[in-house]
Amino acid sequence: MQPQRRTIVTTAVNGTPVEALVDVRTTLADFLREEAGCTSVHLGCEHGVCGACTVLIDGLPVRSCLRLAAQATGHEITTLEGVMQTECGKTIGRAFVEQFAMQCGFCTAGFVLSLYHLLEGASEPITDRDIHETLGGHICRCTGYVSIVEAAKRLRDQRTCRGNS
Amino acid sequence: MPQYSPTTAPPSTEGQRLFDLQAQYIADLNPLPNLAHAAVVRSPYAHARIHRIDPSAALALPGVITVLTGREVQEWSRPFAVAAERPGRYYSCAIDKVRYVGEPVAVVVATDRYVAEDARDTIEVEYEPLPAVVEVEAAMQSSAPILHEELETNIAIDRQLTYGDVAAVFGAADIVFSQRYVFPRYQSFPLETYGIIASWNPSASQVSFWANFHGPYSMLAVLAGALRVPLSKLRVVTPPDVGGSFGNKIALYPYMALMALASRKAGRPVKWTEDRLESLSASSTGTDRVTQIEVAARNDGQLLGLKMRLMDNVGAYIRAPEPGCLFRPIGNFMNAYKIEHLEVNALAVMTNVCPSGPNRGYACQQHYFPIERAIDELALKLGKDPATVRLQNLIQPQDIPYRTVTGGLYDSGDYPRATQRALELSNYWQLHQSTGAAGPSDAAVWRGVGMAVAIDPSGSNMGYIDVSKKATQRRPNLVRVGSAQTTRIYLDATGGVTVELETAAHGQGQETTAAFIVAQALGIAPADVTVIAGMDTGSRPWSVSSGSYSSRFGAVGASSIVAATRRLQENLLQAASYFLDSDVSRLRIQAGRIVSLDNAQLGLSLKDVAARLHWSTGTLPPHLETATQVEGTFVASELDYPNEHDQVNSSAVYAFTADVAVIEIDKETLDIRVTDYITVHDAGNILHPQIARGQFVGGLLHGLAGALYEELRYSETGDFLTGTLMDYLCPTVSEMPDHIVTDHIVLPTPQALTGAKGVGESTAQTAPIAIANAVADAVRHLGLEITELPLTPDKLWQQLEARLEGDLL
Ligand code: FES
Ligand code: FES
Repeated sequence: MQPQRRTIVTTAVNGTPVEALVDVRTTLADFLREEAGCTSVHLGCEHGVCGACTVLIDGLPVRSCLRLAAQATGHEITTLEGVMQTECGKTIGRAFVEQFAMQCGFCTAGFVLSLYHLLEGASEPITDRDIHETLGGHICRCTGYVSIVEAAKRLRDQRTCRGNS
Repeated sequence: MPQYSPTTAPPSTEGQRLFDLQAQYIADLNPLPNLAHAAVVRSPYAHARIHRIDPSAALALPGVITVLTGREVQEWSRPFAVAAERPGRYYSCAIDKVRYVGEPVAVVVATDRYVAEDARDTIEVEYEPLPAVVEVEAAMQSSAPILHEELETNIAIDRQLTYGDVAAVFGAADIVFSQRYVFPRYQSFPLETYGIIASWNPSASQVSFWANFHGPYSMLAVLAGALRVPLSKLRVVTPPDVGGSFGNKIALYPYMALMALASRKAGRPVKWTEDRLESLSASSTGTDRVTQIEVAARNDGQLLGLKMRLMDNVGAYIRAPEPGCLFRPIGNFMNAYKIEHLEVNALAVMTNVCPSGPNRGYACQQHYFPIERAIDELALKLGKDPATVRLQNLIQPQDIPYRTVTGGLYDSGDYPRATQRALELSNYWQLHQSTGAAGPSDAAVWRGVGMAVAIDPSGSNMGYIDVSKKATQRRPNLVRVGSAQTTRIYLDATGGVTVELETAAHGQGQETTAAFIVAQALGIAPADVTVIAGMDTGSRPWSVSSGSYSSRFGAVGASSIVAATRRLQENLLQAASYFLDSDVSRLRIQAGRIVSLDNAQLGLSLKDVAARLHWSTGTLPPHLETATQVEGTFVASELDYPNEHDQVNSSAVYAFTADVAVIEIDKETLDIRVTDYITVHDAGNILHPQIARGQFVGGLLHGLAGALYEELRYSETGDFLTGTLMDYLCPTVSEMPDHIVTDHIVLPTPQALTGAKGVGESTAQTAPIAIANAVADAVRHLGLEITELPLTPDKLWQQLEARLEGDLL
C-alpha cells in the first residue's frame, strides 16, 4: 500500500471559508458532511444517479458523491444550509412543507438545490417541461413526485425567486 | 372522528424540521465517544464452502482495530428463530458456507470508514464454489443443489390449506382453467440505506443500538435470542428521521446482531452505513413467487372456487418475519370476492439469492397478482368485460360484516360503490371500446385499459404466522395473537401538551397527524402540541406488536393516540370539576378551555388547570395526582388464534382499493407508458388528506416500479446482475402517469377508535396488476400473454418475435 496522501482543501461553503486537511480521495459529499457540518447532504447511491447529494458549485448543480473534496479548492459551494439563508430558499421550504412535497425527507435537499438553481437562474419563462427535466434527475421513493411537481409549479407561479420574475 | 379538509389540516411538522436544518438521520448521529467504523466482507459466490479466512493483511494496516469472522459469530450467538418447519441455520454472518452473493463473511472494524473499506479488500477468503440454484421451481427438484445439507431439501415450509368443498365446486363448474404467474423480486428501495451504531457494554451486560430499524418489535425478541441477552438488556434508539423503509428496514436486525458482535470484539462502539450495492444485493427484497392457479367458474361469470399453489422464493435463509408472505393475507385470501371454496398449497423455498422480507404491499402484491390476472382471463374466455365479472363477484354491502371462509372479518365497506367510482372517474366503459385491436390502425400506439381491486389488510394479527404450522403442531401454551399499541401524553405546568410516539415512523407524517388528532380533541392549535418522534425502547413503553408495519398507524397506532387523548380529556374534566366545584357531566372542553354548560362565566383554561395540577400537588385528591400523565393503549379487537381449520382473522381492519390504469404501447419501440391512473380507496376516515394522498401516490410509484421497471436479477449461477441504479431502474418523475386521480369513499371501521383503515400499501398492491391487465388488454390481439412482471419492451418483443416465427412456420 502507498502511504496515504493528504491534501489541504480551501473552499467556501455557504459563504464561510473552510480549510481542512483531508485524504486526497475524500469525496466532496463526505467532506461537506464531516468537515463542513452540512448534514443536509445525503447519500442515496454514491454513484451519481439518485441526486440526493446534489449541491451547487459556483451556482451549478453537481453530484457531490462523484466529486473529490480536493476539486472544490477555489470554488464556492452551496448546500441546503446555505439556500435556507435566502428568501428564495425560505419560499421553497414553505411550499414543500405546505404541499407535503416530502415524506421521509431524504431526497429533499437534492430536489431543492436543483429547483433553487432553476428558479433563481431562469432567464426565460419556466415551462412545465423545464420543471420535469429538473426534477427528473432525482429519485424520490416516497412521494410519487406529484406533490413535488405541485410545489415546483406553485413556486414558479409565485415568482419569489430571482429568475423568471 | 370529524373529517378534515386540506385547508384545515396542518402542514408537515417533519418537513419543517428538515427546512429548519434540524433533521437527524442515522448517518448524522455520533451518540457515543470513540466510535469505530465497520465494513462488511461479503461473498462473491452464490454458493461456496469457506475453507480459510486470513485477515492478517487487514490487521496489519494502520487504523484497523479488529476483524470479526464467522468463528466468533458462531461462538457468541445463536441462529435467528423463525416460524418454519425446516429452517436453515441462519446467523448474522456465514459460518462455513456462503449461500448468496453479498452474504456477510467477516467485518472489519477500523478508525474510519475509508480505512475499513481498504482493509476489507485485503482479507483473503478461500472458497470452494458449489453449484447454485436461483429459481424457485428448480430448487424444489430432488436433483437441485441443497443449500442446507442437514435439511436434505430446500423446502422450508409446505402447507396444505383447504377451505370449503373445493372438489365439489370444481366438479360442478362450467369452466375450469389453470395458469402460471410469476411475481418478480424487487424491493421498496428506501433512499436511505441501513445504518447502525452498536455498542456492546460488558459491564452492564447490555447492548445498545442507534439504528434506522423499522420496528416491528417482535424482531427485537428474535435479535435478543440470537445475541443471548435478555430483551431488557437490549436498547434500541431510532432517530426521529428515517429515510424511508416501506418494510425493508425490518430486516436490519441481522445486521444489528452482526454489529453488536463486531463491537463486542472491538471493545468499542461501531458504526456501519450500508452502501447501495450492499442494499440491493444483501439487505432485503420482496419475495418473488411463482403461482399455479386454477379457477372454477360458471358460464355466467360466477366464481366458484380457486386452487392456488404458492411457491415463494425466500432466498438463502428463511428469515423472520417470513413466512409472512405466505400467510399474512390469510383472512383476505379471496380478496374482495364472495368465494367460499379455496385450496392453497403454500411453499417457502430456499435458493441462492438474498433473503426476502416485507416490502410495501407485503404478500398482497404477490397474492392478488395471479387472482386478478386470472379474472381478466376468465372474462375473456366468457366473452365478458373484466369489470362486469368483478362487479358480479364482489362482496355486497349488505353482506358486511362478512366473515371470509379463511377467517377474515371484513367489518365495513362498499366495494361495488368504490369500484363503480373508479370506473366512472376513468371513463372505463367508453375507453374499453377502443383499446387493443379496436384502436385506430394508423395510431402510433396500442392502448389498453385494465383494472384491479384489492382488500388492503392493516394491523397484522401476530397470530397468523402460526398457520405455518399444522394445527396439531401449534403450541397451545404460547398463543401469539393480537395487535396493540401504546401512546403517552403529558400535560406540562404551562398547559403544553407533549405526545410521545412509540411507532418509530419513517416518513409517514405521524408527528403531523398525532399533533392534529390531539389538537382537535383539546381545541388547541396543532403547533401547540409537541410530538416526540423516533423511538427509544429503553425509556418508552412498547410490546412485540408495536411499530409502523402492515399499514397499522391509522387504525392501531393513531387509535392509541385517541385512547390517550380521551384519558387526558377525562382527567381535565375531572380536575376542572374539582377546581370549580362543578358537576363533571356539565363541563366540556372547547377551544383550549374547560367550560360549564350552565354558566358562561364559569371556566378554566387548559393552562390554568395544568398550572394547578402541577403546582398544587400537595392538595390534590388521589384521583387527580397523576392526571397530567396519561397512557393510552389500543388493542385491536376480534383478533384470534388460528383454529383447527386454519382460519384466522389475520388483520385488525380491511380497507379496499379499486384502480384503473390506462396505458399506451409504442408500436415501433414497444415502450409502455401509463397515461392515466385512477385509484379509489375505502380507507375509512382519512386522518390527514394530504398525507393520505401522499401514501396513495407513493404506493402507486412502488407498484409502477414493479410493473414496468425494477427487478433484482441473478444469472443462472447466482451472480447478482443489478447492483447499481443503471441496472436497477427506479422510476423518476418522467415515468409517472400523466394523469393521476386519487379519490376515496368514507366508510369508517368500527374496529378502530379513529375509524381509519390502512393507506400506506394499498395502491402498491393494485398498481402492478391494473397495469399488467391494461398491457394485456392492449396486446391481446397480437396473441401476447401477460403472466409475469416487470413488463419491459424486450420481453414483449421476445414474445412477439416468437409468435411471428411461429406464424411463418
Ligand atoms: S448519492 Fe450522489 S447521486 Fe446518489
Ligand atoms: S421523501 Fe423519501 S425519498 Fe423522497
